[in-house]
Amino acid sequence: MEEKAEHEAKTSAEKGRCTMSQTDIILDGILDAGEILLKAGAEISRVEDTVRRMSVAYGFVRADVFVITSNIVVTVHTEDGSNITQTRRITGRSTNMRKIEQVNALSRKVCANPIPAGEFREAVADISRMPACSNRVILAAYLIIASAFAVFFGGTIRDGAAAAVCSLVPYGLSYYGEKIRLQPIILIIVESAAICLFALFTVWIGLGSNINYIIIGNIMLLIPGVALMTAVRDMIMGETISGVLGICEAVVRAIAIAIGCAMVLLGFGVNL
Amino acid sequence: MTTDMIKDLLMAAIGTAGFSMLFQIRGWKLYATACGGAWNWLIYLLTYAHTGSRITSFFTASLVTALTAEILARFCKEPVITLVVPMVIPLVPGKDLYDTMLAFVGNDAARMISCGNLLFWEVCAMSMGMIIAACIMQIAWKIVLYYKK
Repeated sequence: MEEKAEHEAKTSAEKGRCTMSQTDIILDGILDAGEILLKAGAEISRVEDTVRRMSVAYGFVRADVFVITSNIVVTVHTEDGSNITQTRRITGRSTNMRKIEQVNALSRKVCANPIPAGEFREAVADISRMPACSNRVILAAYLIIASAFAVFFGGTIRDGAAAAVCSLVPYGLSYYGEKIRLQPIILIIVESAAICLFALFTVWIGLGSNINYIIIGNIMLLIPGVALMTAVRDMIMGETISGVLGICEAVVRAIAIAIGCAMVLLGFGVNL
Repeated sequence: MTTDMIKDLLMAAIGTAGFSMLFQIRGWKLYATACGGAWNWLIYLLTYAHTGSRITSFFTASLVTALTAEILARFCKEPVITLVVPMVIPLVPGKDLYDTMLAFVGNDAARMISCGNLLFWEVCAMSMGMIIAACIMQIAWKIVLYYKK
């Protein structure tokens, strides 16, 4: 199978393309795959492992990979002794398990049988273009999460209903916040303040009875639970820098939630 | 088994399914993670009934759940993280974070410290459970690989 890949490389060279650019294309594709993984919320060790394995599968003699939460650096050594370095800056992560699965499957396929460079680039681009869930599914998830956790933490069914109504607020805000590219931390402060305001409103019109459970159900939507768990997993795997970065990020988000809630609850002088 | 417990388990499953939807999980894994969320909370409730300690219960629940997720992931050849993250969602201490914040807002220093302390230890116990589960799986996997050769 490697012969086939070599043959491909040769024929493309005969067509007038330089083989050097062929390796560039492959490395670019591999980095794209790593970028998708990191943005979708995979652990650092998985990203490093995937990039290294795919580089070796494509015939690079040696691959030095360094990944942290916000950056990927790869240097590969080619058989003729030259080396290529590429870097990616990573901004913004949003959990998308389906992309992680897809890249994982692609990496397994490539390691078993390196597909031609063009095909590989296409496959990676397909995954990165993969449509996210429709807005309706996201909205349903918001409603379900808010109401289920309001009841779970001890609220009544009516509190659950009030929490579901409240969850329209963070849904709408996160939708528009993404559109106007608001900073995530500021968005969280605004969202949690809005949640508290709207929860007060639902109690005022008599839909919910206990404001605490309504707010908690909605706060579960903002809490950095996943960020914290990924960071802890990174720490276990020996990625101390990324682990510390992730934990810091989670703490900052928790503080942002507290600030948002505190502004409203202090402002309205709620004594609970 | 009281109706309260059944309500909690049901809500844990539904809430976990909601998060799975948010994380773009589809197909059979959506149901698997929902069941995992309920399984997680069942372990918590049983340990809590037995020991009466929240910290111990958090630890046991996260340990057992992470082990379940790791074994399931190995069998299905899926990345572990896609299963373990949704399954431990019911343990995310949203209520304690809120209580800490509320005590802070209410200028109640003693309550804030006790709630914050509980929050800190819960997060530690949860992480510890996951760390130990990952270690157990690594050791078991290495032994299996060794004897396969």
